[in-house]
Amino acid sequence: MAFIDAPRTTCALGGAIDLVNSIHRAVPILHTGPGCGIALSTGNLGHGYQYVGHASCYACPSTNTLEKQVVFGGESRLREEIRTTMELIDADLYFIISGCTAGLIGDDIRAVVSEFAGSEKPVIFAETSGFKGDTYQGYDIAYRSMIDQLTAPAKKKSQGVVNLLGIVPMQDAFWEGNINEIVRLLERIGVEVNLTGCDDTVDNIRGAARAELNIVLSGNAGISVAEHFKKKFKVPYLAYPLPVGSDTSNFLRNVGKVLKLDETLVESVIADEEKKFWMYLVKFSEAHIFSLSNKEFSIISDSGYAIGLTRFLANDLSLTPKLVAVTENTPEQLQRNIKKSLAKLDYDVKPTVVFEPDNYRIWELLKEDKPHILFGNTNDKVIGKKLGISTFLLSFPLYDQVVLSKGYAGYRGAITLTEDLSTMIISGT
Amino acid sequence: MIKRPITEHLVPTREERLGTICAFGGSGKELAHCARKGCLKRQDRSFSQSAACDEMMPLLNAVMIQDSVVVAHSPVGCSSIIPGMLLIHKTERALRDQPVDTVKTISTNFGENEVVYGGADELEKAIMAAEERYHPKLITVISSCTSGIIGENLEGVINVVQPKVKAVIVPMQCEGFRSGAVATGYDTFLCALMRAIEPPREKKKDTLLIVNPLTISRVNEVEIERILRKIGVKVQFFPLFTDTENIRNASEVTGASTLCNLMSNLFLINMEKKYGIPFVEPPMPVGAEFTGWWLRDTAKLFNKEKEAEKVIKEEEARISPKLKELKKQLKGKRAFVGFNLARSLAIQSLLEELGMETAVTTGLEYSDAYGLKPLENLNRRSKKDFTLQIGSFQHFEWSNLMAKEKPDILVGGIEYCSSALRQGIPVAPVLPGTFYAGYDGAVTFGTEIARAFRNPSYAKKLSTRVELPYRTSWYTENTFKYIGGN
Repeated sequence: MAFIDAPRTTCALGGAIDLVNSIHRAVPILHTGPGCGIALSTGNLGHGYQYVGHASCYACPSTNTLEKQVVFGGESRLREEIRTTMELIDADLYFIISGCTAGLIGDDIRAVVSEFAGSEKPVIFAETSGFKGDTYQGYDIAYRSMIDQLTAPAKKKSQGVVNLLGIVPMQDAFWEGNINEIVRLLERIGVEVNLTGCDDTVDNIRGAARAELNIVLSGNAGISVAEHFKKKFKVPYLAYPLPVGSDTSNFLRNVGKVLKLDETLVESVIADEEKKFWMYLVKFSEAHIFSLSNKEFSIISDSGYAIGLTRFLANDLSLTPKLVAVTENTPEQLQRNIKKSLAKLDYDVKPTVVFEPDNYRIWELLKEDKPHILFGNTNDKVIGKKLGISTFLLSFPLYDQVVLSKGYAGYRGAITLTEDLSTMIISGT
Repeated sequence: MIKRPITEHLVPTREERLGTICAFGGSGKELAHCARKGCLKRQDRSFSQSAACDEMMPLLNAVMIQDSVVVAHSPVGCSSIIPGMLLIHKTERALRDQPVDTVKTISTNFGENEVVYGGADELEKAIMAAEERYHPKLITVISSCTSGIIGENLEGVINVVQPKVKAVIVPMQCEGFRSGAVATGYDTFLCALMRAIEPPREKKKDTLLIVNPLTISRVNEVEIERILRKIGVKVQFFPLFTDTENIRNASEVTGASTLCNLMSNLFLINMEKKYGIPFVEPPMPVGAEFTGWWLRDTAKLFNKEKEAEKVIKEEEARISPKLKELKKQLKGKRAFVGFNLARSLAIQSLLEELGMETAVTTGLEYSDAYGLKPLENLNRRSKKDFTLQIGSFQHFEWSNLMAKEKPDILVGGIEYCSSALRQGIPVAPVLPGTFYAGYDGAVTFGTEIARAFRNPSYAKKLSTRVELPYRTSWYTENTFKYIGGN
């Protein structure tokens, strides 16, 4: 793959670790070199300084493969580590994830893990050598491996039950807040969310095939998982990039239609939510003049945020989109879909869309046509400051802010975003 | 800068060179005894947790050099440890009146294709991009497990590219699997930088080169400069947050010392061999006793022992009333000291002076070269035996020791502090940015420790709400039962 200047993702192993740490009482067992676990979690404060997981960061079991394993193989070390982890750590799920070294020396991880079949608690694995891709690809690989080994076929579908996919925990620092808002809204229209993506239990993963629908809240991450679900368990999916602002109404209508929900209920919820949403935006109308009037913006983020955010800023707040740089590895077919979604805005203000992981090239484009406001990461804020661009902290790595509960999705998230964005402009930070 | 052909860039591991061990559990006295008897042996753990790797220190340190670009020859995840250090970059630059800036890193982004066909082309492109985009003075090329296992020839690529670029290219061969000792990574980093050091154009009089690692803040450098100024010695810190000119002329100093004798060892030896620079490696100057030790050793390089004695007397007399005051508040409090051993022992020495007791001390690794003398010093001075844990982190052992020893406070690095908080123990963090070196540092940090006892509410409440990962039986088990594994 081509080199990347100032990468905006970790590796496939990073995505797998993030997934496991988001699961209720799951412990990742890394079969990797000694540094991977820390480099990808605690050492990496880029996700808003969050400590998440049952045994994460420094507590994360790891075989710490050294020269001995590289030369003689790491299988016996892995066997030992699984055994001692189960002895020491009380968990609901033991999830072995392997890194580059194990992949290169060709350890038979499946064989070692199969020796633990029939253990009291499930022991599963995913092969996520870092060189297999970025965080998003690692999340997909690990998620597919997990359902292959845990999820049981369902005798029948449960009406109104869905799984949420595509919000990559930690990589999106606002993951928990975003998930909470989407789940809140889905529950209001009568949907039961089985897998939310935050603190999911082993039972919910086992029973995930009973869902009537999978909802992928991204233009890329999670789509291969949903495809896999569809093939294996005949669960159809709806891909709808993370909705922000009034676009959320369209999202809820879509879900309602697919699940054949009570239309009156859906519409009454939408009316109620929109009423509050617009009440706040009326309250905002004075501040809008000072902060956002006729401003142009660009976004550097993953495909999950790129679309929903552009729709909210353009369609609800009258900002003009300039450049949208999508930074993760995205298959071509999905790139076309993302471009199509971004071309359809309420007014004739189309952004330029590029798929570009390299920071330098993104900034060359930004410098050519400077926006007033940029959505990016902490590095972008540093560069932006020199060029007189106000940068809103949104995407990885975020090492300049602490994120615990807030999110930018849905109606409530859009209001939080409006508050944070206009505060940034008015206070000049 | 002169460009020299690459001759050697693979440093021996600490295990090979110094017999460094990364697993030990027992008392401080037992470790010193074993070391003297020569019965320390290399052991592994049959359960282990995420640790440090050889590649980390080169990555994290290299990004802190001005006018440089780091090329990580690896899959994209290895260099994602860098964002974790950017806060240090920001604060340390601010302390030196340098404007906020990004660090420059390029990952060669190994994919399956590079694993099969090699990544030499991409490395060449990345180096050329570093040159064209940023016009740096220094480009460091840092290897990884993956590039090592598939047998990438860094030298070959660099020899081809070097004539095409103005920057000095410095390879750092540091596959994550090479060594369990984090200091091997430091040896790699510092020794590789010798490629950017040129023969002296002049010899500077009474100038001391002090090697200072990433996590000892500028605020401590200022104190060391103050003390050395009193004996008429000028200081040149090496090699972080300075420009490459400051690296180039490192050969021009009179002598060399270190603020962390764990990391600087091989570099100082090589500098003496190559440029005849005499050096000392005293333990870190924290607290009056170790600062005196450090100053006495360092002063020898300049034949200023007498001046040093005078300064030590003056300074100790100056801070003594303040330490006495603190001692009244802190007497008998039991601490868990968490850091690498060079730092832990230095902090422990300060705690002794504050009338505190150390229940547990930790270290990421141990070798006699930097550890034995200070350890024996503390064994002698401590009223009670203390437990010593040597391991590259290994959270489960800390957790066990915190539960068993029930220390009143944790003094140490962030990873130890956050674990302690969750187990209900108040903390005095030693963060990048914390002032604790020298005489004024002793008073400032002693005051911080006293403050930590005033209001433990967060730790106390947090500990009743958190679910720790280990089975309850673990907290009564032998802490070190997993040492001696596969």
